[in-house]
Formats: sequence, C-alpha cells, structure tokens
Amino acid sequence: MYSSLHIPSFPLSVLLRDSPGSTAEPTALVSSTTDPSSGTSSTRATPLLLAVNTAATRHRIAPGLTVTRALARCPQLILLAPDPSLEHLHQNALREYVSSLGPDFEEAAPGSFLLDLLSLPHALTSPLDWIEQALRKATPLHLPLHLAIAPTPDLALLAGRSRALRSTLTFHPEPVFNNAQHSVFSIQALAGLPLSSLQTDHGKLTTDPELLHLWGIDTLGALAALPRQGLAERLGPGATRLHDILHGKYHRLLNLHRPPQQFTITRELEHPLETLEPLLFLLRRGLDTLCSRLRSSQRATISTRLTLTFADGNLHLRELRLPEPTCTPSTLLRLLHTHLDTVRAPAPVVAWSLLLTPALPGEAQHHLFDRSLRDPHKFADTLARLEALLGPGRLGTPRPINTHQPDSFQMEDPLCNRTSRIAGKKPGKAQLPIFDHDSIPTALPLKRCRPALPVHVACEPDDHFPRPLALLSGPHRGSIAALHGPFPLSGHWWNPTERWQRIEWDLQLANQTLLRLACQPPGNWFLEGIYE
Amino acid sequence: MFTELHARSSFSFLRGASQPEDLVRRAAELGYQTIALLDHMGVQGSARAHFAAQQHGLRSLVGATAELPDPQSQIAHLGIPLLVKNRTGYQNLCRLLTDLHCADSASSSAASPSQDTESGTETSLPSGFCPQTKGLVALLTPESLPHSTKTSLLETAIWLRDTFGPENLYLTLTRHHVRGEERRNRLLIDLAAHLKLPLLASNAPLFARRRDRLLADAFTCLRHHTTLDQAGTLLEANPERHLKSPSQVSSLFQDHPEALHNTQRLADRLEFTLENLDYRFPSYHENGHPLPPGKEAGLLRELTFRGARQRYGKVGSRIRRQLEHELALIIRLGFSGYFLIVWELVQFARSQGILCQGRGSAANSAVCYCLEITACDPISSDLLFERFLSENRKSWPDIDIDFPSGERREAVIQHVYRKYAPRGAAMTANVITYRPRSAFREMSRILGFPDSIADRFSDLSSSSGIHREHNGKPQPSGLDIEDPESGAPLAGPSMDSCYPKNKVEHLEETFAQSGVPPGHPRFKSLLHLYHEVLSFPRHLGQHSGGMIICDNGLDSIVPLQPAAMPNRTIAQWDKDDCEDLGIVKVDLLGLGMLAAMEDSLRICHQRGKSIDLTRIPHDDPATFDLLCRADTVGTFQVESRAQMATLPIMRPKNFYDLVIEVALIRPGPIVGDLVHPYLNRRNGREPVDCIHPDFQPVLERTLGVPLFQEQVLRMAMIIAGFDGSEADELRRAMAFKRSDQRMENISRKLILRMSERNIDITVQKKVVKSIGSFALYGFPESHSISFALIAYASCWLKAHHPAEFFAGLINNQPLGFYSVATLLRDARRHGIRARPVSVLHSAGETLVLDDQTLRLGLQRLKNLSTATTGRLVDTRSHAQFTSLPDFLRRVQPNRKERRLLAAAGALNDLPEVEHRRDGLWQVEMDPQEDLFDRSRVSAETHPAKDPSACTPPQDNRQSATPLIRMTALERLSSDYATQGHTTGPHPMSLLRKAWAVENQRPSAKASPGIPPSSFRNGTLLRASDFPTIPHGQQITCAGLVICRQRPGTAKGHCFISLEDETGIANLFIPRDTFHHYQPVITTERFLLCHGRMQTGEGNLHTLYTTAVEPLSFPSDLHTHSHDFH
Repeated sequence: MYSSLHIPSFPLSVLLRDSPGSTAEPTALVSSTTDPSSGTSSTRATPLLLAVNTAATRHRIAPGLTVTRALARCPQLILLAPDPSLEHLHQNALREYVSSLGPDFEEAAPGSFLLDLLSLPHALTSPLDWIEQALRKATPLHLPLHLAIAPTPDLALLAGRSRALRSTLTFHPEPVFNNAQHSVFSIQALAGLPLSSLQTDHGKLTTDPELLHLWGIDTLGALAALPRQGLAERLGPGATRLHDILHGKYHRLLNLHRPPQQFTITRELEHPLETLEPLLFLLRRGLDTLCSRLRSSQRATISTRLTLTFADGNLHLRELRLPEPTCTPSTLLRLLHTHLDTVRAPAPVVAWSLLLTPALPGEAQHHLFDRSLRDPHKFADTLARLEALLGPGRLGTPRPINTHQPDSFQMEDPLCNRTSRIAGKKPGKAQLPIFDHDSIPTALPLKRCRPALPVHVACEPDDHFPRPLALLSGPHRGSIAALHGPFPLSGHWWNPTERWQRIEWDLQLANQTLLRLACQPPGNWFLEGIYE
Repeated sequence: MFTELHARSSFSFLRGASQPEDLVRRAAELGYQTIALLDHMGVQGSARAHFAAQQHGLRSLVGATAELPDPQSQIAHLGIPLLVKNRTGYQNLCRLLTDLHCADSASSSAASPSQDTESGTETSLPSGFCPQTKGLVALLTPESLPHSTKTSLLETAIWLRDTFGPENLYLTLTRHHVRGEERRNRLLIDLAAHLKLPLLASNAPLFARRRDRLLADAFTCLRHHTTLDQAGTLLEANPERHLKSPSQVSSLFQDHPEALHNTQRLADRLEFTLENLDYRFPSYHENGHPLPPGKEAGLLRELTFRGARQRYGKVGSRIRRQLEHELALIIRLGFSGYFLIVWELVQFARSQGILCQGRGSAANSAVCYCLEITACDPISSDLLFERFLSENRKSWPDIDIDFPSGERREAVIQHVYRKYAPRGAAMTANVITYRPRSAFREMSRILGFPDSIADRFSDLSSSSGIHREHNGKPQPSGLDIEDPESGAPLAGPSMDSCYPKNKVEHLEETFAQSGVPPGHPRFKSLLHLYHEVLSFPRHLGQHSGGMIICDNGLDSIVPLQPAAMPNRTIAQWDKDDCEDLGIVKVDLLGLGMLAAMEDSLRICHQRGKSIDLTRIPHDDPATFDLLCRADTVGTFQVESRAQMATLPIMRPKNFYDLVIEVALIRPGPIVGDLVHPYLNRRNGREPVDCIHPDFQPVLERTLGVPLFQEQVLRMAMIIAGFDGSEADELRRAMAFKRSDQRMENISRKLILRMSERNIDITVQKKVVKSIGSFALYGFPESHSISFALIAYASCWLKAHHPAEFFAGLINNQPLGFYSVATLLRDARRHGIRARPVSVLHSAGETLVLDDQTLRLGLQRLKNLSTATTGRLVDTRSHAQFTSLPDFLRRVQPNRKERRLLAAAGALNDLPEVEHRRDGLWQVEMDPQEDLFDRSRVSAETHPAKDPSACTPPQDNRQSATPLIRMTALERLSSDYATQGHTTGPHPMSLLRKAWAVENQRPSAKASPGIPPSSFRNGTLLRASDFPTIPHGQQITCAGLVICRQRPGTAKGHCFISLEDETGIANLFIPRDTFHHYQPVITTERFLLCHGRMQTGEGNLHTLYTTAVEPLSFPSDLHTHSHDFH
C-alpha cells in the first residue's frame, strides 16, 4: 500500500505561498525569457503559460496559452517567473516532512512524493487517523497538499493528482483494502484524470498522445476501458503496461530516497590551539577519517573546505581546489599546511571543520607515457603558495578576449580549466576564439606597462586625432623624434556603459627609446609600453 | 588628384553599409569627378549609381569584386576587384560573374551536376577555369588574400599578371589606421618593384560617412550569424572605411605620389559607363532565322489586319485609321519585332490551351487587340494609345500578360528560356529590402534580444500599421548615439526633424510593448539601427513575372544568377533598373483567378456545356443583379469587403460601370477622397464638377472625378502644357515604387507651369491633389478594363454556373480573399452542397456531381501526398475498394496518411467502417498479408484481367470498435484540422447553442468551454438578422473572424468580417475601441461584439462596435483569417 503526497502546480504554489494576497488575483506562471543586457544567452521560445491559478481560469486562461493571448483575455493577469531557488527550498521542506511520516519514500517529481506504507502498521490499520495526522503535520508547510492511498505506486501517484481527491478529508479509503475492488476503485477514481498526468510518471506515456486524442481518449478512465489485447495489437507493449498500471496490475519498486552522504567533520576543541602543529595533527586525523569514507563509497575529492573558528568569534573560511580528484590524506594535508602557513590568526582556534566535495576518481591520462603534469598536486601546492604571496584573486591564466580593445584579457583559474578538461568537457564558448590582436609579428617585442602609466604630453590638434609632440612627464621624457600612427580604436558602441575608444601612437624619442603611447579622449595620455 | 576606384555599396549585400545613391551623393559633396562601385559578385547597384552620378555630374565607373578560384588552392577564393575598361570588358565581366554564380549554385546542389543547355544555365565551371579578361583591369588588394604570405602573394600576383596582362594589374595600398597594415603595404610595394607593376591608392570604402560604421558592424554580424557581443574582431576596429575626401587620401599617401596619380590615370583609361550598354531587343525569328526590320514590319502589318478581320468582322475606316496610326508609330520606333515576339508567346500559350490576356497599358493598343494579346477593344472604349506608346517616350512599351498561375504559366516561362537559350532570357530581379518587421527582427537579434521580442513586434506592427507607415524611403535618423571616435552625438538631423513626433512616439511605444522600453541600455542602438537599415537591400529575389530577353546573350548585358526555383535564372537588375537602362521586359504574370476560371471552363466542357468567354454577353442581367446585391464572394477584384460595400451603392448597370468600380476602390482614389464625390455625383446628390472647363472632355465619363492615369496625364498636358516626355515622367512618378522624390519634383514642376499660365490657385490645388492620389497606385483605364473583363467573366460564371465556379476556385487554392471554408459556406447559400472527401468517390480535385452537388477532392486533405493520391485514384480506376483492408493493401498509405483519411471521414464509405473513430481504430492494425493467396496478388497486378480476383477479402474483424463515435464538435474540429473547412454545421451554430445555455440562465456559472459573458442579458444576433434591425439599436453578435483589415487609408479604424451559420456580418471598430481591445481583436478567433447597428447608403448594415470580448471555442479550431493584408 502506498501513499502519494502531491502539491498541485508546485512551482506556482510555492510562489503564491509567500504572497497570499495574489491567490485571489488571476496569476500565471510563465516560461522566462532572458535579457541581452544580462549577458546570458538568449532563448528563442515564445513565452507560454506553464500553470495558472483558479482565479485565472475564470478568465478563460489555461496553461499553454501564449502570454499575448492571455493578456488579451485578462489584462490584469499577474505573470510570475519560476523561482528555482524557492522551489528547492520548499522541496527540502517537503522532503523533511515526508521523512517524518516514514523512512521509505520516493521523490517522484518536484512537489510529489510516494510513501511506502508497508513499514507503517498504524497507517494500514487505521488509515483515517493516519491521514489526519499526516495532514496536521503538513499545516506548517502552508501548501495545498493532496494525499491519496492506493495499492500500487503509480496508482497512488495518479490518485494524488485526481480532481476527485482535491479535498483529502472526504477521501474514503476503505475500498482499497478490499482486494476484489482494487481495479474498480482505481478506474473510477482516476476516470476524470487527463492523459497528460501520465507524462510525468514512471509509467511514461509511450504512445502518441495525438493518436489517443483522435481516438477520443482524453482521460485515464477512457484509456483503461479499452481492451488490452486491442491496445497491444495497435500500440505495442508500452500501451499494455499503461493499461496494467491503470488496472492496478503493475507493481514497480520505489526508487527510495536516501540522504546524500556528507563528507564533513567538525570539532570543537576543549583547549584553544595557539600553534600550527597540533592543529595540523587534528586535521590529519580528520582527513584520514574523511578519506576512508570517500574510499568506501568509491569517491575522491575535488576540493577541501576548511573553516576555523577563533576565540574572538571570527571565522576563517577557505576552499582549496585540487587539480585532480584524490583521496590521499597526505596530499590534502600538504595543501592545508601550505595555506595555513600564510594565515595570521587573530585569536586561538577553538573549533575547526573540514568539508570534502566528493567527485569520481580521476582516470584521465593525456600523454601516452606520462601525465600532463608530473605531479599535479605539487602544482596545486605551488599555486597555493603563489596566491598566498600575491593575495586572493590575483592568480590565474590570462586569456585574451576577442576584441579590438588592446590588452584586454580575463583571468581564468588554471585549476578550474584543468579539471574541466579532465572531466572531458568541451571548453566554453568564451574560451574558443582565442585571438591575439597583435598576431602579425612586429619587429620588436613590446614590454607593456600594467597598468598603463599616465603621462603629460604636449600635442598639436589635428582634424581628427591629437598629434603628440613631446612627453612632459613619466619615466621617459623628451621631444618626439619620430611618430607612427595614429591607430584609432573603438568598440562596444551599442552598450553605453561599455563604450570605449582610444588612439594609439608608436613613437621614438630623441634618445632612441621606442614607446607606445595611447590617448583616451578628451585628453588623457598613457604610456602603454616600451619596445625592446 | 585622387579618384576612388574601389567603393562598395549596400548591394554587396551585408558587406557595404551605404546605398549607391548615398555614396555618389557623398562623392559629389567631397569633390570627386569619378567614382567606381565594385560590389561583391555583381553589378546590382551599378544602375542606381549610374543615374545618381548623372544627376550629380559625376562619372560612375563599373566593376565588381569577383570571387575567383585560387589557382593555388582547390578551396580558397581570391576576392579580386575588377574594373571595366570598355564594352568588351563589361561583357567579359558579366559572363565571368554569371559563370561564377552558376558554378556556385552547381557546387551547392551536387544533385544535378550536368549542364542544362535547354534552360540555358550551366552548372559548373570548366576545369582549368580561364576567364576572358580582355577589357578588364584587376586590383590586388590586401583583402584579396586575407592570410597572405610573401610567397602566396607573389604567386597570386604572377597569376593575375599572366591572366590580365601586366598593364591591367594594379597593386592597391590601403591605409585604415590599423596596426599591421603597413607591413602588408610594404609587401605590396616590394612586389610592385619586383614585378614592375603599378601601385594604386584607395581607401576601399564600405560606407559613405563615419557614422555608417554602426550599420556596417551590424551587417558583419548578420553575415557571420553572430551578435555584436560575440563578434569581437570581426567588427571594424574604427570607422576609417568611409568615403574620404581626395585631400584626406592624398595626405595619407604623401609618401607614394605615384599610387595617387595612378588612380587618375587609370580612371582616364576606363571608358565604359552604363551609357554604352548597347542592348538590342532580339529580332523576330522565322524558321530559325532572324527577320530583317523591313520584313518584321510587313509581317506585323499582315498579322494585325488578319486579326482585325477576325475581331471586327469588317475593318471600317475608323479602325483602319487607328491601326495605320499605331503601326506607323510602331514601325518608326523599331518595335515591330517586340510585338511579334509577344504575339508568338501568346500563340504558344493558346496552342497549349492556356488562357491568357494582356493587361496594363497594352490594352490601349488596337494592334495588341488585333494580335489577340489583349482582350478589350480600345477603339470602342476610346482609349488613349499614347498612354501605351508615343513618339516622345524614351522607354520601351510595357506589355503585361496574365496567365493562369502555377504550372501553366511556368510552361510559358520555360518556353521563353528554351527559345532564347543559352543565357538569352532571365527573370528580372526583385530587390528584397528591409521592411519594419525584418529590420526589427534582424537588428534586435544582433543586439542579443530574444526572438520572442521580434515576434511580439511583428504582431503589434501588423495591427498598428507601422509596416505601412514606412513604405517610402526612410529619412536619415541621427539619434543621439554618440560617435565612438568623438563622443559627440552623430552628425545628421535629429530624429524629430525627420519623423513626425507622434510617429516617433508611436514607434517607441511599440518597441516598449514588444519588450524594449526606452530605459533599456540598448534601446537607442536598436532604434538607430532600425531606422538606418530600413529600405536597405537584403538579398535578390525574383520578380513575379518580369522577363528580359536578348538575342546575342543576355549574360553579356547583365550578370545572371540561378534563381531559387529550378531551371530559372535571374538578372541582377530589378525591373526599374532594366526600364531605366532601356532593357525590354515582358511581364508574364500569374493570375490565380485565370487558373480557376480555366478549371471551371474545363469542368463545364466535361459536363457538356462548352463556353467561350470571349463570346459571353456583356449586358447579362443576372450578372449585374449579382453585382448589385454584392453577392461577389470568390469573384475577381470585386470580392473584398470595401468592394462589396460599394457595389450596392454604385449599382453597376453596364460594363463600364464595372470598370469604374474596379478603379474606384483602390488606395489612390480612397486616399484622394474621390470615392464619395463620384458616388454622390452618380446618385445625383452632388453636381458634376470638372475642376476646369478644359477638362470637360477628359473627365466627363467619370463625372469630373479623375480615376484613371490617362485622365491625369491629359489634365497635366492641358492645364500645365506638359509635353509627351514630361507626361511620361509624370506617369513613371506615379508608379507605386520608388516614387517619393520623383513625385515631389514633378508636382513642383506642375505647380510652376500652372502658375505661369495664371491658373487659379484652387484649381491648382485640386489638380495637384488628384495627381498626388495616384502616387498610391491608381489604375490606367486600360488596365482597369482588362481586370473588369476578368471580374465580369468570374461574376458571369458564378451567376450561371455556380457549381463549376466554386469547384474551379476550390481546386486552385490558395486564391483570393476568402478561405475554402467561406467559399463552401457561400456555395451552400447558393444551394450547392459539398459532399465530404471519400476514398470511394473523390478524385484528386473537387468534382461537380450535378448542379447542386460538389464532391470535395483528395487534395483538400492536408499532408496527403501526391503520390498516394495518384495511387489511390489509379488503383480505384481498375477496381473499386471492397473493404478497408483491401484499400490499405492496394493503396499503401503510410501511417500518418491512414490516420488523416480516417480522421477526415474519408474512409466512412467503405464497408464495415461505421464512423471516423471506427476507421481510426481499424487503420492502426497493419494489414495481414496472406503470402500464399496468389489470386489476390494477381488482382493487384492485373485487376482488369482477372475479375475473379476482385472478390472481397474475408472479413477479419474480430469485434466492433471500442471507441465511441465522434461528437459534432469533434467532427468539426477534425474537419478543420485535416482540411481547414467542414461540410457539416458552422462552428458558430454549435457555439451559439452552448452560449445560450450557459449565459442566459439566471445564475450562469463559468464552464470550461463557454464562460459567462458580460453581454449575457442581450440576445446574440446572427448575420442574417442585421437587415431587420433598426438603425441605432444596441445589439450583440458573435462569429468567426474571417477578415481583419486596418488599411493605411482608414485613419486607424479597423474593419472585421464575422462569419456565422447565416452569412457574414460587417463590423466597424473605431480607432479608440480598437486600441482598447487590440490584443483581443488581433489574437482571438471567435469574437463576441457589442455595439449599435448602422444602416448606411445602399442599405448596408454595419455594427458600430463599442466593446469586444473573446468567445472561447471548446477545442482548438484551426481556422484561417485574412488579416491586415
């Protein structure tokens, strides 16, 4: 015996839950479109209504309508976009609630759970009491909950969605305990349910829904009434399985939910630690434990998150990424050690915590006889040391951006890039066109000043471009002996905030020094670099 | 002195960002004497540049940038700019470009690699391609080899030198202030010294002004299918590729004075301009040999008088005088061959049994009438021959011929291709330009907006009329987008100075409604690009029927390129360019109504009623009764709602009334406010006013209202003293395309002349207004007569042979104003019932069973393949189907087709198929073959030889279907889904019943299908009730929308036709009501409308609508409406 717990129109219900006033207003959930200014990729789909509330249906609005048509029918319709984070939050709350009812359950879909009642004798012996109890427990969720009991998992799921069971308190479960009436009860209860409700179940609709519509089969009851043999002859074994489900003859196993294993360890210390050695000793023990757990579940870790709590209440958080998944405690400890060497603690450590992110063990070997890096973890160690020296965010691989804007680049985490390669992922779109705008080799290499040095320049006005005559400040001063240019550059004219322009000159001073000078209108001059 | 010899215009398609006229105008401003336009792979913009240059006193040189196959690589191409020295060079360039285009087409469609000599299109370049280069000068530019190395550059230069000759190859230096270009220039300079080749300076402009760089960047994105955000270095680094002044370029190349001087020297060597095109119309061929002009004239005279005897019986003095006058002029102008060639085309069509009829100004010619090119007698109609041909006309006469659209017209077109093969004939191009919707879609896409925004803009603009507001050439915009170089607003007039403020606001509002509010960071960029790109060419299409022909190879006159349709080529100039350059065009137009009438006549003939349309009486009372009661659904030209509203007022009594009716309801007379004056004068409510006493003979026939172009031309000649060429100029300005500037110029000249002649100001205003009205496409009288002939014939057919008439219409869909559903409804009102499609009884096309019954054809079923239809009809002709398994086994429709046939009820006549669902249930079972039943196999192969084999197969049905019969509503939905119409009850009759039940109960509640309406206390009236309702009474009606119209001439008001089970109701939606209910009106299929009844002149009943609400149909009905055309 199984119980289904279902929140109708889950994405819309969670949005309406936090704004109860809007439940009375016609409201609809729409598929979202993106804005180019947000920089995300654009979608080409026409926005459609995904779900509507009861007030909206009174205005002849139904899921599947385009937004334009819906607004034509009801200009005051409130349009809401799905909020995945809110859905995630409520899904967690629901999971917690269902787990409080029984240990064996399946997450059938967002907002939809299946509970195995066989392990709950109370539910089997006095189901009405159990239902009342379950509903009472659900009150704090503030979500419309449909609850149904049926002899098979799929029937329970379908029954949970049935309009006939909208009011759970009127539900009368006796017939389900009479084996002789199983099928009768199921078909009657489900008769009005549309065929589309099968689409999201485990017993997916394998038949062409258009054909069933042509046949006039729009409800589960109508489908169940068709002869099994006739269905099999015309639509194959998929249809017979559907038929069996509807008649309660198909009993599948639940895909039981098990909480994900946590690879974390937290310790509060009785005696605050003031030196590194004892802390490392404790961390080593913690890593040993966590790595054993990882190994036992055939996993490795790709990053280590360390949290230190100091006596003054401050926290130190640090996530250390690894070039390759590993579960060797010494490697992890070496990373932690390198990092902790650079940490200046404001007060003694009173607690610590380690969290390892599980990943599949790395098996990639890119070269025939060797790995791309002889010791990737040593490389990570070196990077950690460098970052400790330079400061956070100042370490990475500079990648030129495909633009005319000189010296524009973006920093990429070398490890992040490496791990994505290990995982066999193709590089993202942004990484593909690696363009070197100085690809045409010039005779002299340019030593760039980063950042460019502001200088004062004496110049004469021209029709279009100011022409420099002498450098008045900066490390290289003097009159200009020779000039090559100008090289005007501009771009991003379509974006007011990112619009840029500059005029570059190559010049030679009287002392033979070759420089690159840039002017940003109206009159800001910079020394861009020195030709060597 | 510097001359720019490597400019590119917007006709390089997504490569250049200025129109040829703008480039030439800018060149004139900058002081150039000469400019060369070298568009990519064509000379599409050369004609426009040529005439703009003439206007500004410049010389426009001709050339193109050709993508030549790289001799060093099988894959790469060299982009070599080629300049034309002389006529031979021009001919070689045209042939070269034609070869390249045809080769490209062949490589992209490898399926047909052979040479199609019949149609004159070659399909691949010969191996070791070696073009004729005499008379051409090649430029080697840094862009010719984008990834050049010293070696490849040397090899290419040597190949070009050997191909074009050392004196005809120049190495071109460009300086766009881009880092690295000097290195390439140095390579070219070294190469020039090494090979002793001359250097040339150029700025290779892609646009006229710096600010055009924005559009150039947008085009770059479109060409590379990317967005501005992702284009990166594909975009221009700076705006330096504009047309610079000679002094600017001279200062750039101070260090290479010889490169500057060479530009002038080379320009002096280039003699050719389009003035020297030397096009000759082909001579008429007899027995494969061209006739000399004298013999052509003799033959034309002979054929004309022979035709005259047939047409008139006896050739009287008046007829003879007119024919002699026309023939003398035709022969003097050297057009005899032209008339003979058109005559030959018409003869070919007649020999193939293809209906055809000349239209347009050719109908003014008695010679054309006698040659049977046209069908209306210009002598009896007193038509002005000079409107067609006059001594002063510079251009060739224009003969347009209508053929039945589809395969019949294609047969004539292919005849022309064959006759002038190889490469002697081509369709004229149609330059596809950016219109508001395409401009918004493409510009928003490159700015990164989702397509859904463009979809919304399309929806909104179609109903708000934006697409009509910008039909002319756009004005320069100059929005406050800052110049990336200076940071200052871009030069140019402000937007407000170019567009009326209300239109700007309207556009901005539409942008905002589409999802781009004015506050959006990219709003200004989008608005700017939108305005800039309007009317820019996007690509070349083919004209609907214009063909140009040439005796000595059309590909030496203009480059040809393959069209999208197989076996067709198009020339690179559009019809206006061809006309400007004196190239003769024959329009072979497709007219769906001719095809429908041809079908109707064929069906009549099959039923033993042979009809000759040329002999039907033109004073038939039944036909005029039909016209007077506006029973014209499905007829030609007089079926639109506006025509049907005018007919009861106009009450045509004779053929000429119909001619006026056809000409009256056009945008020109409507905008010019000529309709009501004419109708008022006709009905005696207003005195006839001929504007000026001298106009009396001209305007008398149309009661003082100038309705025809001929009248306007004569008025200009009388009142302003225009001579023939000026009148011709006026005629061309009145053509509906590219006319804004021309109309303005000619109007100014007209006013000046009238003022010189002391014409009263009021008269002047009336004359200018009358002429201005024709800028929006007024008819010439002869054209109107030609159309009226077809309109009359279609009405006559409907009045006397309605069954055949409707069958012809249904067999030639899509056609005209109304869908098949409306046509069937109209047929039913005429007592003709249509029987549904049946596999036992239907042919491919719709049949006439008797005068009251049609049988719909299998072609009405959507997605039933032609092969299956043919197989079905063919198999059935041997032996009738005896059962469903028998049908399935012999016809073998695929699974989708089986379902389609069953869902449409086409299987219902088969034994043991009880209803549609029963058929649907049965067709899902694959037929079980009895491998050993030899008699059945034999029956399939030779059914006629083995009658015993036709015995019905054994019933293998085990039990009755478990599926329930379709309801009336389901049958209706299924009919619309499978055919787009139904032979059963109208959807409104079902909706009406449901509405009445749901909305007229005291406590009406919402139900899923039919919700309560705010008008539920009223009575839902039908279209047939309208005549009984008094003027001013408040009513509510409902129906299926079959037509929404909001013409530009309607000042924002909207007209809707609602169909119900009793007829068509006319709704008038005032502008404010339309704006209030716009989303409902434009998106809903069924409407519930409230308003007051208006009874107008001619006893016309219209609902003045004050409120609208949607009426939901319980299922999704696939109806079709004629919206905002």
